[in-house]
Amino acid sequence: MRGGQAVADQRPGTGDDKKLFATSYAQLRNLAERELRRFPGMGVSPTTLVHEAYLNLAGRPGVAFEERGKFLGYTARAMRGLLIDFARRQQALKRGAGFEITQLSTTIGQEVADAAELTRLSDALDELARLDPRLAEVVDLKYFCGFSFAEIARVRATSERTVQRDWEKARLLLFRDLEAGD
Amino acid sequence: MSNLDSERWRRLSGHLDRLFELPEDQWPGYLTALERDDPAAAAEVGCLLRARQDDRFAGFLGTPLPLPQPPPATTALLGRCIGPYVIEAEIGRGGMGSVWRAKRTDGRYDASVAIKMLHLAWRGRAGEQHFLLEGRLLARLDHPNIARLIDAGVLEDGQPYLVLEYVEGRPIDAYCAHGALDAEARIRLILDVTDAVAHAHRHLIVHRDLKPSNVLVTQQGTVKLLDFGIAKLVDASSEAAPTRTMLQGLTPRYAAPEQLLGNPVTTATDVYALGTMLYELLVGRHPFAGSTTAATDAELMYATLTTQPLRASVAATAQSGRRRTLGDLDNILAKALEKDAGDRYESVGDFASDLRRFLAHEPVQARPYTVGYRAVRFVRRHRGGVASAMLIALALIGTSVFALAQMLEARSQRDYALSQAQRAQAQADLTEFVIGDSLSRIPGDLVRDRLDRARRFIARRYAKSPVLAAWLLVDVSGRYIDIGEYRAAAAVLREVEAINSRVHDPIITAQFACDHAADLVLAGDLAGARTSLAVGRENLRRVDSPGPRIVAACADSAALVWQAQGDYGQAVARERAAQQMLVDAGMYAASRYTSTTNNLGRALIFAGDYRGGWWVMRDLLTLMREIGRSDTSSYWAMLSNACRALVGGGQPQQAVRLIDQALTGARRGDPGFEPPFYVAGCRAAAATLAGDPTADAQLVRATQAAGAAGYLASQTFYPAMTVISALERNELAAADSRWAALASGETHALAAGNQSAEAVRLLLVHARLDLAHGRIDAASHRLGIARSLIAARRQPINPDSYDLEVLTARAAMQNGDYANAARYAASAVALANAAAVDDTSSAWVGEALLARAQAEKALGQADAAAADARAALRHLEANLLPAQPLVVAARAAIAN
Repeated sequence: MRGGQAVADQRPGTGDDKKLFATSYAQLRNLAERELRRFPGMGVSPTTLVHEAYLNLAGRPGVAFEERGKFLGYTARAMRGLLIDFARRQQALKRGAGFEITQLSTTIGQEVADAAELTRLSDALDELARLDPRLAEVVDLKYFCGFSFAEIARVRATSERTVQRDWEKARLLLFRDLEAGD
Repeated sequence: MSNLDSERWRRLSGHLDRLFELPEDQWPGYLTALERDDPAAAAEVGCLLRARQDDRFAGFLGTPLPLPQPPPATTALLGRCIGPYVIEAEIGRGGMGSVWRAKRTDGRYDASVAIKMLHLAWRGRAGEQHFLLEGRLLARLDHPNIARLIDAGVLEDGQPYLVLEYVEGRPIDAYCAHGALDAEARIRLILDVTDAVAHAHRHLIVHRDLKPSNVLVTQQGTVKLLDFGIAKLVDASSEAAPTRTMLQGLTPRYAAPEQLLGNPVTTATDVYALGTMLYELLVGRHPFAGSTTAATDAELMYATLTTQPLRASVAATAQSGRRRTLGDLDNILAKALEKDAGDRYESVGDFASDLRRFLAHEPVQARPYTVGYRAVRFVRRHRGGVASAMLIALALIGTSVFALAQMLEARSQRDYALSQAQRAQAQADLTEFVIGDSLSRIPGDLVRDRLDRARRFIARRYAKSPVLAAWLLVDVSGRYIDIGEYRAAAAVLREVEAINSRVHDPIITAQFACDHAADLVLAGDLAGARTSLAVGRENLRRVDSPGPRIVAACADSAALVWQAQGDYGQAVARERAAQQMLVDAGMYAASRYTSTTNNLGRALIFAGDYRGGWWVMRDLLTLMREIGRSDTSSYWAMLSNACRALVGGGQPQQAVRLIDQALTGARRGDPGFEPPFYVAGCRAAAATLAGDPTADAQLVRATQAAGAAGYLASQTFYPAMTVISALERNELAAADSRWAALASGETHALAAGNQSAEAVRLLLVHARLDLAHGRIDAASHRLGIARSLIAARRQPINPDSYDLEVLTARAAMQNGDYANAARYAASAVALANAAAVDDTSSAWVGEALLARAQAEKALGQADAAAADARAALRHLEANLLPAQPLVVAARAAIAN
């Protein structure tokens, strides 16, 4: 239940970074909760949430993201945190802790990503971000936000091929890192 | 990755890029070449690529992670027959289950029906019979504005379902917006809804979940209510625990306070929801949404429980610039939205009647209410409930207090220009509300542990937002004070000061400057206090809207400065203004509010308005008990002020009882409990004045303790009381020696031209001593000086004036000047009456009446003397012990 702040805690970066992350996170979370509540049983796509968050935030006066790409980076990272929090919360619910007003608690038999696994992945990603931030961002955008290579390439104004190469490199590094931990 | 540095990785990355551009069968060639040029890199690349041989690698991170999703909509029901209906399509999903459109198969009529499949979880194992029974009851509802329940049943697999009239229409809010309906048309639509709701209420069925999505309007403009009684139906058959039931299936946005608190739901709950809907339709936003941004459910719940809605006319004006509602409509909405179900309209019919009167321009029944008061009362009464509902709400949205604070922070950045101060205050208030009140019922050790952890947490978490950290730490220090951990509180404040020396936040600077001013006043450095106060004010001026908390804090300090200068009227005015500011901001439970109120009470007492002071203190003590802070040190400080008010207001025995009662309570939990010296001191002073000779020892101890504590405010009060105590017991020698300790103070005070209470009080005590010795001229001289000092202060009521008049009367009496004795005694009667907590029962009214009776008797006015003496005895007996000298003298006066 307190996963949100645990993840937010680990956020590296400057004060501004933290603020942007916190803003993105709160925004995504509100959107997700709202969608889940409004359309229980319909499912919510992370991609849609990120797009909506972008529209909401970028259209607001006083929020000056220099470029769409930078914004997406923050939002993707926030989305990662949110998904992990949700996974944790769902596990908590399965164990019987906590109350729920959204329909999360009634999803029976659904494949739920293991929160501990996700946390390890997230830690590895943070480390990857220190080594090569672009690689980590591709993983956030692709795996956690469901963006296609084409979309990511458009945002980054680069070729699809480059994104695919980044993706492969990221997978190699992460896989080795996670396996080594086993 | 830890074994890679970015320099090396750049090289490896380049090799990988080139490899990925080659067909895979050419990789070995590339790697062999690399091995020749850079064996280390080749080994590393090879090692990385080995992952590709792992079976799991191909699918690693392959499918994007979905948000946890409920299972896909089942299509198994399509085409299925349920009774005489065949299911055609799924038309929606809601909190309670899925809804399907279906048609009759027997061709009896064409109309579609809606079939609602309830989540299995809603129906408890034993609930089937109950479900069917309730369903049959609901089916009796027959009203053109209610979507009929046609049937209720349970499928073979135990799936409960409802067959309902199929309605095609828009939710009422969308309908109004789409048609751009004017206010009157909107009210008329709500009137149709009220008719339907009233019909259901006559059948003893409460909707419990009225909201726009449950009120559809068809193309023809007909209102149709959906889901009537279903909330009750599923709830009654649920076996879930109360807290779960209370929040499951609840729409926080439209829930009434009683629903949020888990209290019984009545027809008044529907009145509340109708009020909320009408408010939204007219104003365009939720009654508790506060600002223009959409509030979260948690914020709405918090506001619903603790604040009064913005008057609809004000909100509408702020929103659209158009004034769509008028005073009467404001009152109608306010009455429908009362927090206490009992204060709302008695029935939906009454609500509808008032709306009709409004439309017909007739006077309405709803009366304007006192803004804020109702909310205060409600919060006081439901304190525990409000706190726990908030905690549950926080749990519900899967967040913690701090996450919520952070959320508010994010919000406040967004709305910075609009409402920075408001947000910051909401944040501080919420933090205080939850950590303050919810923890106060938990054992001290646990609270301290929590606070220690919160302190570390804040330092870690908000290292990058020092201003926020500083503010949270200020709150934490307040909580430490609440549990008596002054050392920890001081340490935290030092942290804040250290942070502030870097960030120079004007509000924090002002807070420190104003607090420091208060400390300086207590330390006797009035000039320093004025300077510090000026610094505080200067910093406040740098902020656009500093918020009530800090403004009140500085007003408190300013009041202390005025008080020290002897201008009690100004002090009272400052405290009153500060208190009002906090009330307006809805901060009834904040410790700033309780401390400001305490200061107001103390200012009134210093001004000699003991009655006003007592009322303030009495209410404050009640509030403190209601919010669970009766075991805090501030509670004891308040108790000692209440004691002072009772003593000054003529009820010393009552004061003794008040303290003894509190002590008994405290000792029940802790047999060895000793009250702070100021409480013991006031009790002893009260007992002494009431005529209890055994209180003297306690008084002396308290005086020593006060001296040891450097408690300057009592520098004259307690020692002076010991002199009076000796005089009460006719121990002149003891009185003289006790006075010796004070004599130099009198000289100093007079030499310094000090017009404060101190000089006057010392002169009056000295005069009392002179009179006891029969030194009438000396006494008269001192009384004259005291009179001129008091006159220079121009105070409306003065705490010392009464003593002055009574003593002057006594001096005149001893001088044989009976006419003047009677005159001064009469003046003393008036003053005692004005200051009395209860002017029908005050020892000091009795004392003054007795003095007048004695003068009248000497003047030969026997009847007046007898009447005054009898009245005096009544006043004295009620408030003093039987053997007290005044009581004895009054009895003697009557007997003669």
